[in-house]
Amino acid sequence: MALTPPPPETESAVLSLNKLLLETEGPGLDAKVLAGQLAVFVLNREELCGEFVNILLGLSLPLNGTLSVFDQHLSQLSEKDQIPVIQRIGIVAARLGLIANLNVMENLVLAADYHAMDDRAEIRQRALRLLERVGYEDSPYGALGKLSRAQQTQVCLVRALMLDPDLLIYATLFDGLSSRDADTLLDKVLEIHRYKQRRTTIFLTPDQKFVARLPAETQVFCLQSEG
Amino acid sequence: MYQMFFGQLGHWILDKIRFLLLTFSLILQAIFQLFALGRTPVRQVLLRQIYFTGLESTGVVMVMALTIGVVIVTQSILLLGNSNVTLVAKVLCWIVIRELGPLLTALVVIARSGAAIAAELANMQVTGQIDSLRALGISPCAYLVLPRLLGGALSVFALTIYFDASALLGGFFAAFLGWKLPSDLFFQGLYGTLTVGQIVGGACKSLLFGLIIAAVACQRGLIVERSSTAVPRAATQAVIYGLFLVFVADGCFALLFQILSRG
Repeated sequence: MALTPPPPETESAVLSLNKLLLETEGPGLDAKVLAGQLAVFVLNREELCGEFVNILLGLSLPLNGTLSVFDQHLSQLSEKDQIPVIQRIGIVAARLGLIANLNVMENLVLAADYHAMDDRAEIRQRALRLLERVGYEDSPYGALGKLSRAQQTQVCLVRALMLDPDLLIYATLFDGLSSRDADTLLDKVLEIHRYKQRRTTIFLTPDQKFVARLPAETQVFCLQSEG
Repeated sequence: MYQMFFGQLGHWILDKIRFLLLTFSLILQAIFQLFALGRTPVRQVLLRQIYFTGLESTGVVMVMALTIGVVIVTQSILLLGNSNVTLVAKVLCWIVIRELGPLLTALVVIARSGAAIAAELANMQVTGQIDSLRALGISPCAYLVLPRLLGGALSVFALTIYFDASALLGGFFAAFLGWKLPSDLFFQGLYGTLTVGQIVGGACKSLLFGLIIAAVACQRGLIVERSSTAVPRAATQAVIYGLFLVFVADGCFALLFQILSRG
């Protein structure tokens, strides 16, 4: 009996932009980021990075065009249907959004506990392992207010990694960090990208110079209006 | 002149109707999320809310209630004379259980927790914490609103029981120790007035007041814009709107009791 060859693996788009327009000026952008790719979107202003994330999560709508993630338009889904898609996305934003009245560990385990992803002890062990991996050296049970900006960014990164996402989005990641902390963090981020096969990593930045610090294979998309 | 007056009045009424609808819809949304109580983090927030709203207010409420009990008994004796002990006890019971217990407890909770809940949620909104919850697939209504509504209602309910017991105790001490009135007649008056209907009425009132206070505070906290004055404004509005709704609800309850007692 002749063996039929397996069908070629289709290149699934993790993120698709179709004539996406964030500002009144400028052309809409068409873009496709495939699974496992590293990409950077250069936007006009820092606020647009936050807006891009909001559109991606279905929290707001673009001026024109569409943005889909894992072939889904989150704004068109119910809150319940959004959850499985959102669980595949990890976001580290400039406004870190860590919950101020929870300590480091409580912040890290919140989503996994809420979604009852695993045994509680196992979730905590995973958090400790990830903290170690990103180079966090303070107490895992300390208050957030006592941490430096770099440490808070590390905590935010671990929180994003807790659900082992397929897509990681870093929005203006290096805001408020010294160049040394920023370099260390970028190394960790790239290491995390390579660690899981077919994990997609997307950077959102208003800083054109940032692109030069990324590996050569990074796809660059410009959402900046000319002039 | 008249046009301007009626224009402003119309705006005020529409604004209040909009506020009522938003608050009511928030309560409904939270009811639809009741199943979220099965999740550990939601239960943790609920317990924390009961601790902050209920347990931490107990001292203030009990001291206030003891004083109120003493004041009511003293004023009643000054008005009715110390020969009518049963009536004094009836007045104390009637005023405390039906009216002052739920109302004054609600006022304490509005001042302490209503403002705090609104400020906390407004701060979370302004600093992007609520958006980050959404990004983690956590419903802000299930994680933030539901435990605050339940915690608020249960806390006001429990505090009202403490208030009632402390006020009756304060009244008894004032009558028995201060005015040397016979305790058996005092208790006779209390038992004669205290009915199941009164207790249930007071309990319903306190639960509803707690729910209203927490819902108003959550609603004011969640709708803030991202500006530096948003947080204190939300806290102030939570107090003002909370007072407004609690007094309106109290008036509705008074009418309801009147209709029920007639029927």
